[in-house]
Amino acid sequence: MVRFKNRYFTAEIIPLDNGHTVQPLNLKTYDILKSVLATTEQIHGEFGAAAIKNGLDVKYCNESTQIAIIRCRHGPHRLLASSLPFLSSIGKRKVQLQSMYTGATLVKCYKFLKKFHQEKMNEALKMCRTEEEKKKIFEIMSKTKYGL
Amino acid sequence: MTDNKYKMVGNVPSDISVVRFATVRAQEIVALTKMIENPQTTKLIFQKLPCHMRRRAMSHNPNRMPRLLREAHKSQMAKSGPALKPKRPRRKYRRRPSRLLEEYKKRSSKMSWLETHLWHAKRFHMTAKWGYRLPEKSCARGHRFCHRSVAEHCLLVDISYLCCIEIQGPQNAIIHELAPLCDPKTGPTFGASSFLNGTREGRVTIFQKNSFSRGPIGLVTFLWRHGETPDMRTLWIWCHPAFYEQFLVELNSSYGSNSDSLIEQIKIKITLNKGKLNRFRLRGPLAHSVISNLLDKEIRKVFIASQSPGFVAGVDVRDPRMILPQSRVKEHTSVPSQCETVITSRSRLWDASVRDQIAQVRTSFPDYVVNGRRSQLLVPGSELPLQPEEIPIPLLIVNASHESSDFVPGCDVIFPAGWATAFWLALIYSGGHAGGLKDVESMNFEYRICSDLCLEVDSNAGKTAAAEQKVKLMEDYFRKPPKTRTNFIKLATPFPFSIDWNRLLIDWGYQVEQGFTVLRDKKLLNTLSLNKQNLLSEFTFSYPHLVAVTIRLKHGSPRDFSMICIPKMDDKFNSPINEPIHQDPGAKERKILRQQHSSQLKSLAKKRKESRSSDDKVKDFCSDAVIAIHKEKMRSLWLPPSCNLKTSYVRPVIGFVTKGDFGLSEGKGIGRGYIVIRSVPQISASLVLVRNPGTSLYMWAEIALC
Repeated sequence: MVRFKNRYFTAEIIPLDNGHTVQPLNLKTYDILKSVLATTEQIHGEFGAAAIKNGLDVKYCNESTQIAIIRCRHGPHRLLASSLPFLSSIGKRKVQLQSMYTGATLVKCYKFLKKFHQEKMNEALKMCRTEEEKKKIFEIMSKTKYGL
Repeated sequence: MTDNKYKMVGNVPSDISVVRFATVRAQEIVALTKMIENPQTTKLIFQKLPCHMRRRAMSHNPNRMPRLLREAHKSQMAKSGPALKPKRPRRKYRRRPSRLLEEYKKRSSKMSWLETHLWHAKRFHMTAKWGYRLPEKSCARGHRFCHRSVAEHCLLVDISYLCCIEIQGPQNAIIHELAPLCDPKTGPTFGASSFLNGTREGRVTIFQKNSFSRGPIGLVTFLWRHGETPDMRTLWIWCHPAFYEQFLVELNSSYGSNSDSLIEQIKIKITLNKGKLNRFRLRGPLAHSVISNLLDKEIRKVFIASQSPGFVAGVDVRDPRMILPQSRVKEHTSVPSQCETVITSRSRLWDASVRDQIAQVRTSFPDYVVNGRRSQLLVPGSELPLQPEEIPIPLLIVNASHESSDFVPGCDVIFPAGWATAFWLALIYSGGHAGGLKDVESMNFEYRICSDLCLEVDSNAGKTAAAEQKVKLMEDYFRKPPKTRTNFIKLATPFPFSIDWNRLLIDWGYQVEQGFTVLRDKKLLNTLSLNKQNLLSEFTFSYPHLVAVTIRLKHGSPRDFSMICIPKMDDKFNSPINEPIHQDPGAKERKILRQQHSSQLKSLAKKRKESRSSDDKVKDFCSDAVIAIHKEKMRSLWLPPSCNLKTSYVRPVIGFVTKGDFGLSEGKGIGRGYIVIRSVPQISASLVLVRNPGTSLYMWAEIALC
C-alpha cells in the first residue's frame, strides 16, 4: 500500500508575441503536455522525460486567466521544475511560463489561486480610472462575497 | 522599474477592460471556493471518524457508528453490493436430531416426508413424486439383489403414501353409490360377497361415473370392517396419490348429487384418513416369518393357518421397541405346526379414538426412556418385560392376494400413525430387505403383482406419468451432440420416447375421439385367449380396445417402446428379417438450417457491435428469440415424422412394449405391452416379431395374453 505522492505546479502562461488580441490564446491540455515533455527531454534527456511521464497530467487549465496546474510525481518533480523556465512554445504560440506555487494537493493549489485572484481584483480596483468602473467592480466583488 | 512593474502585471493585456477582467476573476473565485469547500474526497465516512471512535465491528454492523453518520454509512455499505448471506451453520449442527424437526418443517410446505424418511434418506436415492419424497433405489444394493429379495427372502417397502378414504354408512347405500364407479365385468366389485364379511381384501378398477368405455381412474384396494351389522358399516378404500384428487371428485359428485335430505336419511360419512395410517408391504417367501417376529408367542403358533391369500388378520402386538433384536437376524424362527384356528379379522385399528390414544403413547413414552431401560437389563439385547406405560398396538395383517398367474407370498401391515419408525426398524432387524419405487416397478414387471402401486396406461395419471417420462427422455436425447444421437428417422422408430396409442388405433381403423381403453372384461379376455375369436361378434372388435400381452424371446430382450409386429404368411420361423434403413429427408434441411442460423447470429452480433459504437440505441439486436426458434425447429427435424404404422414398415405394427427387459424370474427376455384387439385373430401360432427402438432386426417371440 504505497502512497503515491504528487506535486502540483501552478504556472501562469504569458504569451510573448503581441498578437494575442488578434488571435485568442488557445490553451489545450494536450499541447501543454506535449511541450512540457519536449522541453524536459531537451534539458534532461530521455531519462528525464521518461521519469516524468508516469503521472504527468494537466489538471487545470483556464484560458481566460491563463493559469495551468501541472501534476507530477514526487521525486522527478525537481526535473520538471527545473525545465519549466526553458519552455518557450505551446502549440504554435510563443509563451513564457512563470510558476507561482507548488502544492502537494490540488486543494492547496486552489486555495492559493483564490488568494491570488483576490489580490488581483484589489489591484484592478486601484487601476480603475473612472468612478463608474469602480462602482461596477465593487458590485462584482460584493457578489463574490455573497456567492461564497 | 516601470518595466518591471509592467512585467509583473504583464498578464493583463494592454487595452484592458477592467470590468471584464474583474468579472472573470470573480467567476474564478466563486468556482475555486466551491471546489475548496467540497473537496472530492476518496475517504469513506468511517475514516473521517477520530481514531478513538472507530470500531472493528462497524465494517459489518452499522449500529456501531454515531447516529448522525449511520445513514450515510449504511448507504455507502449498500453501494458495495448486497450483504453477505448469513453463515450456514456447520454440518454437524444441522444434522443434530433435535434440529431435524425444524428442517422438516422448512421443507414440508411442498413435499411431504414419510415417517421413515430419515432412515431411507441415508440409504436410498430419493425422488419427489406425487407430493412426497420417496425412496427410489438403494445406494448399496443392486437390481439383482432386490430381485433375489423378492424371490427368496423378503422385500420390505414403505407404502404409507397410499391414501385411505373411509366411508361409513348403511351397507346397501354404500354399495349403491359406489356401483356406478366400477364395472362388474372386470371382476368382483365392492359388493361382492367374499369381501363383504371383512375377512378378505378386494381390488377393483374404478372408472369415471358410468363411462366404462373411457379410461379408468385406477386400481384401488378396499377393506370392509369385520363384525358389524349391515346398517352401519365401515369401508376403507386405499388409492394411489396420483389419482387421489380425481377419485375424490368422483366420490363427491356421486354423494353430493343426491339432495341433502337424502344424505341425512342415509347418513353416509366420508372421512379422509390420509395421514393417519401407515402401511408396509412385505413380499417374498419369508415375509410371514419376518412378520411373526413381531407377534407374541401364542399368536405365532396360530399364524400359520391364517396365511391364505387375501386374508385379513387383526392382531395386537407389543410395542416393537421392547422386542427389537440387538443386531440383524438372518435366520428365521418359524414354528411349523398344524393348527386349525384362524386369527380373527376383528381389530381395534378401525376405531379413531383408539388410534389417537396409541399415537399419543409414542410421545408420552419416548425412545430414550425405552433405551435407558433396555440398557439396564441384565442380559444385553434381550426383550424388555411388560412396561406399565405400554398398551398393545392393533395391527391389520393383510395377506397378498392372487393378482396374476404368478403368486408371490407376502402380506401388508397396517398400523396407526406415529409408529412407522418403530415397526420399520423391527422388521428390518428381523430380516426384511428395504426396497424403493424401482423395486416395486420391477416386481410389477417380473411377476405382475403390486398393480395397485402402478398406474394404468389408459388412465389420466398414467398418461401424465408417460408425458413426464417423455420430456425427460427427450431432454437426455437432445443433450447429446448431434453426431452421437441415434437417428430414429433412419432406423424407422416411430415412437422413441413415448407411445402414441391414438395413432396406433387410428391406423387400425378406429375412431379415438372418446379415447381408448385396455380390455379388462374377464369373459372376453378368456375367449380371446382360448383362440375362439370367431365366437366374438364384430361389435367387440369395433371398440378401440387394447389388450395386455406378454412377449417372451428366446434370444435377446425387448426394450421399452419396442414394436410388436406380425410376420408375413411365408416368413419361416427364426429367419432373420431386417428393416431397411429409411431415408432421412431432414438431414439436408438440418444442414442448411444450421448454416443459415450461424450466419444469422454473426450478422446480429455485427449489428450489435455497430449500434454500440455508434451510440445509436434505437434497435436492440438481441438473438435470444432467434435461438429459441431455431432450437424448436431443429428438434422437430430430429424427431421421426408421424406415419402409418401398418404400412410404413416391412411388417405391420400391432402394438408396443411398455416395459421390456431381461426377466430375472424367467431367465429370458420379457416384454409387457399392449396390442390392438383387431390384430388378435391375425396372430398365428402365438408367434410375433419384436423390433427394439433404434435397431433394424426383427426378433421372433412368443406372445401370450395376460
